[in-house]
Amino acid sequence: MLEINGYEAMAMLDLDEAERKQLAMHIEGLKESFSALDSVDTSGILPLVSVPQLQNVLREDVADKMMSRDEILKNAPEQYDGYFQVPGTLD
Amino acid sequence: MDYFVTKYDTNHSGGADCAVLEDSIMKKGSPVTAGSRMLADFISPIDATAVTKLESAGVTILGKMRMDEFGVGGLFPSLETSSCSGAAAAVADGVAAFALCNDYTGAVSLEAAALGLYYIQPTYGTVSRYGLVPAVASMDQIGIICKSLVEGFRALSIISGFDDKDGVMQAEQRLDNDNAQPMEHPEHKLRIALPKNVFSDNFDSISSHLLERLGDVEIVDIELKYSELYAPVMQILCCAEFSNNISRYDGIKFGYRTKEYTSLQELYTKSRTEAFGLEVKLAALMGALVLSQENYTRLYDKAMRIRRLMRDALQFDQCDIIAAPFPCLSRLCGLPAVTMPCGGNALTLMVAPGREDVLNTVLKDRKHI
Repeated sequence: MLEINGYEAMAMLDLDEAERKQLAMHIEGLKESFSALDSVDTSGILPLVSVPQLQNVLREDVADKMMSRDEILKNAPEQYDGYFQVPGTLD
Repeated sequence: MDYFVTKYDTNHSGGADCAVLEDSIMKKGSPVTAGSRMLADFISPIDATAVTKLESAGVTILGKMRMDEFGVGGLFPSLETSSCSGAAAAVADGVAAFALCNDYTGAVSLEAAALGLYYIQPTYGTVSRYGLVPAVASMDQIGIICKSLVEGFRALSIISGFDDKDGVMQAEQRLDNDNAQPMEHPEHKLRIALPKNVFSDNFDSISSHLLERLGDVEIVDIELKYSELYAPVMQILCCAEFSNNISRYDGIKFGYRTKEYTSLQELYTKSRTEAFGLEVKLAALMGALVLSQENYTRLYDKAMRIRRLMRDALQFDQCDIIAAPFPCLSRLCGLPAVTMPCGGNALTLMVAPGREDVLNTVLKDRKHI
């Protein structure tokens, strides 16, 4: 079975054994199907990240009304005194 | 079948001038879940630009419809989870004239076609995604499920157009699909490409259906190069972008937070593990895999280069419309498309970017083909 613990850590997931086994099987199958890409020579071809030819567009530096603090905090799972509340990050 | 996740209190009885939204599109003050436990308690702080435009045009929004979690399930047929678009079911039952949704995988389009409906995919970057729950940035695009293409293209005229809140909007122009003029082809008939290499055993049947219904058109034979790579390239690019996009769900600023944790790291991991479903977990893991140092060049970077080859291989100089049995090419290349039922199959007609008018004039006065 494909070892996927490293990818779990990268994706910030902690699967149980049943899920890990099921998904590892699918990932192995998908990975195999990706070998089809090896047959194409892409030397000299630039990656296409997004379809439109985007150009950097700068707006005028004019202050605009954004969401208020209360509106932003409305969807926070926990808040305290106008801030997002998180567990201690320093020992 | 209960299509609604949220139903708005309107006096409208449904039908004409009514729309429903897939539950990934925001309407201020009401829940938007994107089908995920992660967003079960999330209240939209804004109106999506598409919603603002519809309401300004007098369209009544009836509610938000059930969807697969973040719409990602369509990427993994091998998981064999059943796809269910409440938006498509509601339009099929005549609850609303049309529905808005983000079908970046093409699964909803196929589901809509199986129900006898059309799915209009606009040119990438012509309909604002402001207020859409992001999934796959380079393919996210609000499209329209409709029973009548007249209604569908009218809706597209309303929701399309420049919005400075979406960084990929292309031009300050509105797609005037409502007043599209008949195409004039002094030099040739309308040319529809039916690439034989992607229509296996049903080429003759699709071809005769098109000729019978569209009348005086020329069927052109072109080859869709790299078609055997559409699925793996879609999966690689979608997983990479999707996993990146859902990294925002950490249980801190919004979304689900696990009840028991002892450290910040545990808060992140448990919140995500408990809230995400199987397809989302698979996409997140695949994203981590294709973006990892060992696979980035061989998979992600390579897929982006092949995407360019796919786009550059489109032969719109030899045809006006390309037909295919799947919608994924339109997503990969940002092409406008209509997916529809055709003789018991789903058929996707794609045109060059910005040429929705071709599809509109060719199809809108016709019954299902």
